[in-house]
Amino acid sequence: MTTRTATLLMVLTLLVFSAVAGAHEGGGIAGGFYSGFVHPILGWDHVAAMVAVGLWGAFLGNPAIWVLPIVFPMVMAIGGALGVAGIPLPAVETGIATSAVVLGLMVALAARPPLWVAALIVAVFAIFHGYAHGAELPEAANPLAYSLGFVIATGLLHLSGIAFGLLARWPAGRLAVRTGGGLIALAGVGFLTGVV
Amino acid sequence: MNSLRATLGIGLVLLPGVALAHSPIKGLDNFYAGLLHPLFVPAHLLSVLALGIFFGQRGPKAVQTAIIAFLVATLLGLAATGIVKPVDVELPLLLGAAVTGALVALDRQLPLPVCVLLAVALGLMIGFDSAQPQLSGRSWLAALLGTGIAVYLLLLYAMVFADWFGKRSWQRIGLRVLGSWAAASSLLVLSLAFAA
Repeated sequence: MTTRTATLLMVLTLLVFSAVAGAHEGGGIAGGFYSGFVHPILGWDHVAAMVAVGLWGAFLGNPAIWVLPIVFPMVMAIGGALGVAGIPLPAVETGIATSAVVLGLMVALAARPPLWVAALIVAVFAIFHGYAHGAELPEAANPLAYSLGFVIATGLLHLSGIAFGLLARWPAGRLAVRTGGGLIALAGVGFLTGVV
Repeated sequence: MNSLRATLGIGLVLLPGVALAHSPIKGLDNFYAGLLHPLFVPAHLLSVLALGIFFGQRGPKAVQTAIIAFLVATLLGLAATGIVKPVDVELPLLLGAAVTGALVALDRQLPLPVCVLLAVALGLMIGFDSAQPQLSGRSWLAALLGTGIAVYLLLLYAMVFADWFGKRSWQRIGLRVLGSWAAASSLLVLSLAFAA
């Protein structure tokens, strides 16, 4: 048997054991969780704003570092409820894009407002993000699994922002974090204008 | 050629078929099904884990009575499924999960009677919502026993984890964030139910 024939046989043998191709995301609990989990991650406007929340929290230090990621999902649930109830909220996409601009600018400018102001800004934008997620909840395979998925994904995006934001302890890291904030604000402008 | 054979051998080893394990003892399948039941009902899982974290935050010693009360209430709820006609308690259960999640997020000390009341309410609802109407006799008993054990173990795991993990301030923040996730997810699904 030549090497070529053997290789061909090997490939054919392995092809017999090919896995099943899943053409859709599936339903039930796993499908609902998956759809919810990827919803914030696949939307760049959500990603930018969520990371900015984490960055700003870390930048502001204690207690903002934990207040903002706790406030956000709670208020996001209210926004989600509005979306589920079908209560119209104007300019949702604009609100989400603006959140990236404003939160990114807060980090870039190293803004240090009082905690209640920071929490209020984050809370207002959380309503827009929650509304966008909530509007898709009724179609989800399992609504609770879907909402758990997107709440967890949102929290993990906050966490990634916090992790990067912790670099602000060092001068060079502070510059990196502020630059990150600037890039997020720029991306937000792109979302607003439709360039991105 | 030898290396090609070896590659083919490794390739085939890496592609094993599915091993379908089954219970060798008749009737034990229902026990396993019962054991897995809380893992496949998101509302049960969320409530139990939130309650476990809540107990862990308080410290297991401080809430001993509530831990025992939860076990008794769960067993009573499970037993009631054989007597009372099944009633859908998912919404009250989600409300309980939202309240418990919010309590975890707030991380406030509560009087023991309130903790006991919460444990009894959640235990009764989870037990009662785990009915197995298609089963009877020993199979029914095995399934309910499995569910009871799984629910209680989940509570203990979450409690021990929260107690062990929540030593430092950032770890306690992490637990509070988990509570906010549970509350937000439950509130969203509750809003969906009310909107419908």
